[in-house]
Amino acid sequence: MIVSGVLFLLGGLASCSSPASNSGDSSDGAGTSVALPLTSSSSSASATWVTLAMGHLDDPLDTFWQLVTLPAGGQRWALATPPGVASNGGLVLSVGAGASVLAGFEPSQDLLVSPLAESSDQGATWQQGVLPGGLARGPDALASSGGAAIALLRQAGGTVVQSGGGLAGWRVLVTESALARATSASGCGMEGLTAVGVTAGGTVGAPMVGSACAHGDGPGIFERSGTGWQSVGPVLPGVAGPTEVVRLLGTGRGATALVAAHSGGVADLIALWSDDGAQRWTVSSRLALAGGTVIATGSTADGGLVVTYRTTGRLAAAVIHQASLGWQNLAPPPAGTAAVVATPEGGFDALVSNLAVLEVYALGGGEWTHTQSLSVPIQYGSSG
Amino acid sequence: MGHGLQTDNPLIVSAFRTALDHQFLIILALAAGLAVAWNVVRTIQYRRAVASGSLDTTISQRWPYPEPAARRILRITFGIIWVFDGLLQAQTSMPVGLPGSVLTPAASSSPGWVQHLVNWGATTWSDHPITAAAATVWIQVGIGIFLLVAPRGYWSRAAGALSAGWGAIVWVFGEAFGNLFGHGSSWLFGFPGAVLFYVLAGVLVALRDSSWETPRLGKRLLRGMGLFFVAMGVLQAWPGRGFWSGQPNPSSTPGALTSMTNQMAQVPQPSVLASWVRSFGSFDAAHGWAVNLAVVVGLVAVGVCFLSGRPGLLRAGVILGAVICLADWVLVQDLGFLGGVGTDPNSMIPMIAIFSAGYVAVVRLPVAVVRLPVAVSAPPPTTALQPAVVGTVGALDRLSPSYLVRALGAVAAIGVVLVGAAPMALAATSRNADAIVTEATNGTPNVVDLPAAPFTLTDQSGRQVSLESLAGHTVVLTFLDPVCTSDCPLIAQELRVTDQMLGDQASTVDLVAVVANPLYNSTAVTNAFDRQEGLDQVANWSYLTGSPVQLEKVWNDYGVQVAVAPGGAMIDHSDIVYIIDRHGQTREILNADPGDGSATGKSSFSTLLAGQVQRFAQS
Repeated sequence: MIVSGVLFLLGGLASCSSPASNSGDSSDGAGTSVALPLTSSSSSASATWVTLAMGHLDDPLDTFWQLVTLPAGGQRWALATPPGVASNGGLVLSVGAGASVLAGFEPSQDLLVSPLAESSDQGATWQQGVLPGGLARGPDALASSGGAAIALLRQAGGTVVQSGGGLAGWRVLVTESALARATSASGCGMEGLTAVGVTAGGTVGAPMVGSACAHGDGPGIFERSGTGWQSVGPVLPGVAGPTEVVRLLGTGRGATALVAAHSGGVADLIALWSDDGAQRWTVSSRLALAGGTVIATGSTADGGLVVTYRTTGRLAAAVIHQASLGWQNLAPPPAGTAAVVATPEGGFDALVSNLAVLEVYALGGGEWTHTQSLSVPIQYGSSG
Repeated sequence: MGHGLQTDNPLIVSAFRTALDHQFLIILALAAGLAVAWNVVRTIQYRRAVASGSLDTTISQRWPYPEPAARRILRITFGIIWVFDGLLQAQTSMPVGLPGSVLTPAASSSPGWVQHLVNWGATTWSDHPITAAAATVWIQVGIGIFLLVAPRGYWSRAAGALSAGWGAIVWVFGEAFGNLFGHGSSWLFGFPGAVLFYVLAGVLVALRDSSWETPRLGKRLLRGMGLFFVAMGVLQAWPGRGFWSGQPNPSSTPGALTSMTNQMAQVPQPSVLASWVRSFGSFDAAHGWAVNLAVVVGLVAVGVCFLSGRPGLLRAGVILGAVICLADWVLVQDLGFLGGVGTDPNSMIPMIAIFSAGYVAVVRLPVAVVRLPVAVSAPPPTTALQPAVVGTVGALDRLSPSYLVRALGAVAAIGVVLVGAAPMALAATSRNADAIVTEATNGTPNVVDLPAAPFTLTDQSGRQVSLESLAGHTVVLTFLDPVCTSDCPLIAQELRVTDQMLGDQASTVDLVAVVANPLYNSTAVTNAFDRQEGLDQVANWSYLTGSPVQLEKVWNDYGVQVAVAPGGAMIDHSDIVYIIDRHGQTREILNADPGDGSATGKSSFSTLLAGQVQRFAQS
């Protein structure tokens, strides 16, 4: 009886403690991951394409990723989301040469593979396909060039597959472990694959892979060479810590990359350009995030990069062009901006996702002016 | 997707009532049989007595003293409580409501291993809701009757042991160990679980008679209760748990007790009771600190009284404890069983019975009965105790009427328990949920007898497959979107499990799906789906596709709606399954909506489908 009384007291006192808190998504901390944002844009002389989340963003089943486009010379954005698949998990975009667009759906709920859709007429019609697995979660998990495509799948820490033509005949190109072994001399200390790209050159460009590196003096950028791989990432001045490739884009002349360099728990962004098939790189100055979070990235029509980020409680946007090599801050975007994107004409629009309405603001004279409200027919409840 | 099962689902309610009615008839039949047996035995005894010249051959009283009063308190109180709890389990909301309204919430603040354990029980219940709910009714009623009709001897001790055993099961699965490992516990709300006192009472009733002959048992019991009350007082006094504050103003967060009484006042109950609870809640809101102080002082005072061991203080402790317990039972626990899915009157009444019995065990010991000398002549038969008559009597003749009643009553009570327990034990051995769960959400299958519309499409290997080519087999036909994120993978899994349930019979069955997406309809996509769902290993599985025109014709022929929706939505299509017999006749149409996608729902659909397929496969 005495023992039982003591046990009750101990049990009751044990219940005094608060329940273990759920840390939920555990990030690696501010210093080791930029958490690749899916929201991305691609701008060229013919059009700008943007993927972003809309709907009830606090409910995964009522969040629907959309694809919107602004054609060159056009004044209004249009909805171009490929039909036939639920886009709750995310949408990955790759704009190839000749205005072809390849979109991939991230897995969600019980769909474990990633359907694909490709269009060559500004999204009017789509050809469908499917990957043999689920896309990795990153804005450059897909890359296409000259009718072939490569994709970064999430299995086994990162598996790169290449199509045999069109959207079919997928075969494994390399896995993370194989790539790490093949390029061990680079001193990267690979910690996962983050992006894929295709350099310019020929009908089928050379596949490239970007990774997160635990150490080393440069980013983990690797290019297919024959049947092997070689590290082609440049030495970054002053970088000796973790890095990760945030964006990796094949351009008409070579490649463009955006790299996060971590030091002392803080990440800076560095832009890289190569005009000779990823052999030699031009390195930009650093964009200090000051502990902030990148929420969107994109390319400009002239091969530059635009970044939207949140720092010290405010939104900010910055752009860099290869010619200047320096980051230029744009006017602070409107509240709720999901992405600042470049237009085909070289201007900038801010896109605000307001449930099922996309609000568009154009930058002019240092100010953002509302120019369009685009209603998106979101089918709430259709995924649950 | 559809919605989950509602507690007032007509099919479930009707099936539950029917099950209880049928089982009650069985119990009546059992009772009738036992009554006949009682009559037969008594008749034999009477005839033998007449033949031997003595009308009374009963043996003398077996025990030297009547049942100890303390033991009788426990036996009768908990016998009545178990019967009451059993009747509460007959509420029509129990089959569907118990897992979600009682079991899972009870474990919500407990560690993962407790939740895992409780979830196993909740899943077993959900898989067999009718059987489980009916079983709980009869098990608890049976245990209660057992305690009431068997006052002494091995029968009675067995009743105590059974009460303790079932109580332990309920304490683990129904009360999540009384929230012993969770947080926010309070004696006021029923910590450490009402059923734990049932277990304690059962153990005490199961003890030998000799345990009650001295005050030692009673003293130990009261010491234990004393420690318990002191511990509860300390727990109640512990800072930072929300009990020292009421609700000083409407905008402030209410304290734990205020919050509980506010909730209890909202449940459906007599208006008088609701007003008492509400008034107490208002009082606590205004004087939370004082109320908690009074509770702490009261609990500790009761504990100290019980620990003292002195009869005067023990009596005071019993009185004070009963007052505090009754006040809590009415004003905080709201009688324990009102509103929602009430399963028992909570902890206060059992607690009162325990410490009252402990007190009686100290102050009122059993008194031996003086044996009277045996009379030679046979006195007139009466129902009172008779002196022993020594003579040549058989075993049957030794059975006194009172013992016979007790024995047959105990057998009847055990029979009541088994009427509930046996079906549940059998059901629990099955890994498959009952079909009624699906029928309750999706409706019963639509029985038809129509020629199935022909089709010729391409399977995942590129071969042409026609419905005609499947003649001689039973065909299970459905329509699946290969890039669907929710329903279709679930339906695919249900079909796979159905195939496993069919066993050898699966060789005479073809599982056929037709693509329900006009855009993603290539064999590459169907193959990707098959690999994703493990259907590429199922020999009798075919995933058919064709051109959008071909597919649309099949959809129209089978009444399947397929619509392309904008804005990143998946294809909207009907969830439906056709059973086509060996002769090409459509025999049944089932609603295949997976509902909330629960494991129980999926298993239930597979059970239903397998059962229906077996019917037509054999016809």
